[in-house]
Amino acid sequence: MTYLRDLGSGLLGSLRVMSRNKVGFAGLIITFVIVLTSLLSPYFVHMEMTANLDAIYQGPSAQNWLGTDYQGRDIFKQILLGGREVIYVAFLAGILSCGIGVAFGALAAILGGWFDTIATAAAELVITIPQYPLLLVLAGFIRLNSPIGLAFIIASISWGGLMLAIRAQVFSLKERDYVQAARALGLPTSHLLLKEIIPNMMSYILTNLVMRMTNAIYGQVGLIFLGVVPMAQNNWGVMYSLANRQGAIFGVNSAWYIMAPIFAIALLQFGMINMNRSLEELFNPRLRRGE
Amino acid sequence: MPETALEVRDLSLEYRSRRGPVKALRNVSFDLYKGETLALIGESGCGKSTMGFALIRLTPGTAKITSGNVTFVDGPNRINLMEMSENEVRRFRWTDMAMMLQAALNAYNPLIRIQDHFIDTAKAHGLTNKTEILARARRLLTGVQLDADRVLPAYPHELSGGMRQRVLLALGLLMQPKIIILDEPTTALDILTQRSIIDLLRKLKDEFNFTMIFISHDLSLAAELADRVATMYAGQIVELTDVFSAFEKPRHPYTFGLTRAVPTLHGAAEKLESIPGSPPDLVFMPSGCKFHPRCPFATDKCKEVEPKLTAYGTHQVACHNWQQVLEESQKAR
Amino acid sequence: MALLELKHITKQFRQGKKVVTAVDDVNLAIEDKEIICLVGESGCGKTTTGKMAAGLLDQTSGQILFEGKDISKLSGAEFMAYRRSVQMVHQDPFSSLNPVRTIYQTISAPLLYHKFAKDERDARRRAIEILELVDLTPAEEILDKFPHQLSGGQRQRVSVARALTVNPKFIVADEAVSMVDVSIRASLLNMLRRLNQELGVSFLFITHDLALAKYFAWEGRVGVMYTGRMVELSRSPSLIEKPLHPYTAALMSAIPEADPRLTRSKERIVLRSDDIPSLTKLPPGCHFHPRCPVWLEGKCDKVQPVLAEMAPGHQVACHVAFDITGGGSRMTAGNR
Repeated sequence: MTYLRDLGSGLLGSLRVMSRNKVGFAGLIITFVIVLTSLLSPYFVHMEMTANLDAIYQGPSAQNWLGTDYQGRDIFKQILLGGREVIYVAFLAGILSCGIGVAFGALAAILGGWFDTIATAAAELVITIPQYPLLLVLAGFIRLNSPIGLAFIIASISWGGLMLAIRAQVFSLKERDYVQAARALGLPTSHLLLKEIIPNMMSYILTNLVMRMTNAIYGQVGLIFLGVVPMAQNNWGVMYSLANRQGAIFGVNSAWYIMAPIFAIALLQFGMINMNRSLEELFNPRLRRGE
Repeated sequence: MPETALEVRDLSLEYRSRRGPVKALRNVSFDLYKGETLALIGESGCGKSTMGFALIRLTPGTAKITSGNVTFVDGPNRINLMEMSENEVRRFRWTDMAMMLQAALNAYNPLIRIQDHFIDTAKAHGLTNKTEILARARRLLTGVQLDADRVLPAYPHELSGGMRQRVLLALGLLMQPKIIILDEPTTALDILTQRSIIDLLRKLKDEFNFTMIFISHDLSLAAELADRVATMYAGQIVELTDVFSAFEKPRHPYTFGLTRAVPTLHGAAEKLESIPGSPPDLVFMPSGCKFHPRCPFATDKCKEVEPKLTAYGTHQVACHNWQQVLEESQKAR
Repeated sequence: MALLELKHITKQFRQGKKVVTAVDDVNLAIEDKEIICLVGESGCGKTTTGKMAAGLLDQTSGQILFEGKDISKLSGAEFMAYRRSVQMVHQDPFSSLNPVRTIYQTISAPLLYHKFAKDERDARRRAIEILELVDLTPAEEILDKFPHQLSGGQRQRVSVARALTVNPKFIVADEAVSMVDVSIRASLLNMLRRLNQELGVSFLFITHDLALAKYFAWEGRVGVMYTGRMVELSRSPSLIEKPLHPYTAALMSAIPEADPRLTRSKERIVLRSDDIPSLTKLPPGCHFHPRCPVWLEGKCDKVQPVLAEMAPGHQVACHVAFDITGGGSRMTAGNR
């Protein structure tokens, strides 16, 4: 992204730009902290997953910052460890669905003809079929004991909307004077797509990527909740599911067990959604002008 | 001594921006005489549109008038526009002074008919009798050479660009203002439509006898309609004189440069020359005279001391070397 | 043999159920090193004609010949050569350059793709040469800027530079100076004229400003279009001095001039009506007859006039002008 260059030093400059939007920057910090913690925690936090029946559903204390769960295990540590898988699947699903959406959308707009008709029909089909029932059906066919499989399923049903949006964008960008000029200069379609059109959609694509990821988080949690995914430990979705099954919501002390993962997920979503606004600032050179 | 309609003294305006204050108007002073047509000429960034907005206090929130005042003179009454409250200004606008914005052809409400535009406007300014409003509207529409029966019940999108511009003029005259400000009234119009608007403006002025300021980058418009021409550069008036002197005997290098940069159709096939460089950054302006980096007559004094708009008879100019410019412009003729 | 020839070019668009004929049977031959201006008001079809001449829009019917050969019948390599020879410069300096690419990237892409430059260093050197051709200095600094850091005039020069990278023989400039400050227009036009004289590039310059057309194409030709048809095509001095078509004469009399004595003493030609015909409901015979002050009832409303040469190098499509051969039309107005 050469246009980052003109800010002076790449990273510091980018951060300065993104800090212009206060809420967005807060979102960025939150996301960054959560992701970093979740990725690094397994190296620092060790957890005994054996039950400690003396300490069931204890409220927050000096030893257990968020209390203990139905088997007496520390909740806070579970939260620290439980984000990793969630984030991993979300990221993968986001990238996959974004990749499919952008590829199909851009190609459909550029190539037109029968490819466009088929791709659009497929996207519309994917949109109209209800997500969860489809997920359940797919789960029956694909082994879900790996995060990759999970990511793949979630991605395969959520690329539709993005594809149509990208297609519309490319249609409109295709008519811009500078694209026409590139065409007149004899530059090939691959250049038009990769060098002229897509760089102008980067902020759009990135914000959509983040939305796909938030979408994927809900997707996984939903699947876990419906019992379709084998229960790994140390996963926010699993925590939530277990807590729900245990009726943890009904007790003052036990409520921490269900609220903790909910809060963690919500905080991550909040961070990611608001981070988008900062990304907008970064990727639009004209917004950044401020001259 | 001609009667004044508007007195502008030391008007300065700044816009807030990330890089610092943008000095869009800097100590502008001039008198507008009753019944005259004054053209404000300049290119992008000179401050002419800002001037128009400032006069009717329609500037955006980021703008601040940092000094000066504008006095509206109506017989014995003198009203300081800068001291009026919001409500007073709103009543003043359109009834005493009206402004027609650039590309306002597109500023119509697409959902209501033309006759409702007239009624709404009139009602907002104190005229409530519907019959009277429509009667006035009819007279005005005929005055702008439109068929009132066809135009009044129509929606804006049913009219052509030229027609919408005329309706706009009619709307502007509805409350019979004493001063009309037009911002780029003929840009984006075809040649023949432009011609009819120009002729119309002349006719309306003769008939209704208002005072007119029009803002434009188009010198030919000034040549057609103006009694006096004010050239603006970097937020200041750099020359103010009658239209013939402005084109034939300019005393400011910028005005001189402009007249040499614009071709005429029926004049001799002369060589055109551009003014090198580009307008200054309004946040970080050059020292001394703001035009000196582009000026072929610039001397050392110009880099240090900013010239003030000075009157030499009826010809006002802000330039240290105006006599040389005058000589050059006479030679070029 | 003309460099580019438009033969009986027609372009129609579909507007719902109606068919709009934007360009109607236009013939135009552009020679080597020639400058032609196409003038007319909005909706006359000049931009559409320009796009077809630049190969950016397909015609509905008619032939486009490049160096004598029909472009629809060119082989792959021949077509690529044609594609490079004909370039276009757009009106809007804001949208004609990709906002997220530096000037260097924009200029170097065609240089590298068509192998006019061997590598990045060579491309950079060549880019600087081209920027200097269009008077963009200091070229080194400009290369690394983004479009929004340049002024409108500078951006237009970059557009021209971009067109020059492929060594075109013909450039279509569509209102290329109308969105630029008045004081800069002259230097842009002077630069284009220099490119014409020194590099031998032909120009089709589309504009609604007749005064500009006169200045730019004084040594060349001017074509006047009205509702899709070419109504007058002539060497510039002849057209400006004695326009033969009533529409041209009316246009010229209507234009305000940047000279108060000249413009206030100009005689105006009054047209019978101010209504511009809609392209979906065009008048029969000559499209201009409902507005024409000298029309002949029975002829002008029935028979479409054909472009014919009525004075040396001066073609007109008008029955009335035809009737008054040799003397020019009755329509000359206020030419001093």
